[in-house]
Amino acid sequence: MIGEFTLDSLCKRYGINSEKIVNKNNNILDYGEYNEIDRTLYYLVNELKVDSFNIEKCPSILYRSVSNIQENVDFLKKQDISFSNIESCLHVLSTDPDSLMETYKYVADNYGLKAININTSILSVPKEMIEQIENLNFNQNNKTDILAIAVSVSWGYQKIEEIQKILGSEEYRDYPELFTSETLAHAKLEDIREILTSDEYESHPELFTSTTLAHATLEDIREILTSDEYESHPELFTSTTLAHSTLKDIREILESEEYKSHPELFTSQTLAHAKLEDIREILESEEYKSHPELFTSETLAKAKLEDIREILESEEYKSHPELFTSTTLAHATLEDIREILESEEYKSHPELFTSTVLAKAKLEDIRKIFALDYWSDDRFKNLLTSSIVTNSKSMIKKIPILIEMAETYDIDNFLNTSFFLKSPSQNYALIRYLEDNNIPLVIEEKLNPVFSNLPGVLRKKYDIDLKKLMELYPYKESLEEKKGGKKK
Amino acid sequence: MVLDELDLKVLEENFDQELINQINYDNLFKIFTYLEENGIYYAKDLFLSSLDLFLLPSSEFVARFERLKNKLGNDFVDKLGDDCSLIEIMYEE
Repeated sequence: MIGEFTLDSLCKRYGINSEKIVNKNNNILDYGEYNEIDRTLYYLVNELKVDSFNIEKCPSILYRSVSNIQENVDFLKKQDISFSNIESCLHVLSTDPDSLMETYKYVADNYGLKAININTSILSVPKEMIEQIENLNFNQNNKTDILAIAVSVSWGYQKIEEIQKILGSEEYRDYPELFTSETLAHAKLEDIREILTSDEYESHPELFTSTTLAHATLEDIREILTSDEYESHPELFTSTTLAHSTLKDIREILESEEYKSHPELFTSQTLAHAKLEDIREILESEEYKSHPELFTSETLAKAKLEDIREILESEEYKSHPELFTSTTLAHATLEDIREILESEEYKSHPELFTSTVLAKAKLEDIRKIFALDYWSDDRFKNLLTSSIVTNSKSMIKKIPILIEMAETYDIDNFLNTSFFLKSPSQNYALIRYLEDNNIPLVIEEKLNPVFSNLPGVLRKKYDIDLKKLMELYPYKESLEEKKGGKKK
Repeated sequence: MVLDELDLKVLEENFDQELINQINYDNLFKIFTYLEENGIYYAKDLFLSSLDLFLLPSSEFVARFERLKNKLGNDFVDKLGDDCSLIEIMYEE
């Protein structure tokens, strides 16, 4: 047990806001012990250099055994996963070390390391729980849906019996598109049934997506759809608003002075994700008054004033203001930006790092893209662009496939940016079409211009229907060919 | 905008599922309306190859596309359609 005042003085020593911690989880006052919290904070802040924000959002870590935490950290640091994911998911460190190691091995072997990097919380779930979800044998779009559901069940948001009821229901059979892993992880069959048989669903089916079913109740939706607010501003009410917001919050925003003076800042996204209190704080801030251009509806919906202030006061902002747009502020933290600007990758190619890169790409993925051997190869060295860096995570998989395809068809010396923008299936279909019609893939030392044309233009100008070609020359076939050797 | 099976295949080959999950239909509708008003008959093709740009707030997308229009001149519709790599202009600062 620890008193609020004592906790506050202890937290202050480590730059942590105790009020945020208690508001998030006041169990710390009952279960926390001074010495244990002190040791844990010392370890997290001084040794691991974990950001205060991550500790404040996961107070339970402070009343767990520090030796368990250390054992888990030692284990995870030796594995091939990004430690930054662990930092933003500290609760996994409270897991029993044997259970964490067993789950790690099981998920890495059966789902791949990527699955752990995407859903790091899975490490707090016992292996047996994952097996129980697997045994439900439902159709999932993505194998990793099983892990998302396991986390939800393990944390008490959902029960296995409820998932079994949903899977055996007529609704699941008749409306499979509405049952994503999110629905299975959060919804109750009774609520779904009530929604699907309602007049509201019949008259506004577009507002009911799997997210609505996962998060909203019919009562809330009904209240919104019969409200004056919905009648006068239907454009503000999307399925996301219905899923994440209550009428009370929306009403408060629409009646506010802030909405009346800056209606352009309030989109359905703002209504779905932001609280009036936070918006008010931003609009009254010095930061907003001096840099209004940086505050769009996206910033209001996604960013916190504290983070924006930290960015605007930083050395990084002062030396590279052009890299900080409203999108950067809405998506990136100062820590991410700092890490990118200090990286070797940035120093060697600053021209590729635009504000979009800072806002959308993670350094970990950028490093993987830069580490590809292709960029030191004369054939490809000029093809690394900002769009590739922005989409690093997707490009890591796509570029090797495209280059292998180009080498197979001897066009690797002539590749251009457009070839990287099309998908493997699209490029493959075009290559096969040109070959079968004896049209050269390369004209005057350049890739045939059809590779640069967008599909709509191919259809309009040359009557080439790329979709038909994709059906005629399915890319899967190329994989079979590759297995049998290069096509020459 | 309706996406058929082949469109989804292209989208999934081009982009990570995490990015695809970020699509905001309300925002997308505004961008498509703007592109349509500008005569971009191949807007869906741009979406499938440059999804990340379509995840920008519509106002930001419009500002960047206007920059592209200024740079390409009056025949921007033809130029961009003929050479999709010109979309890189939208990434410039």
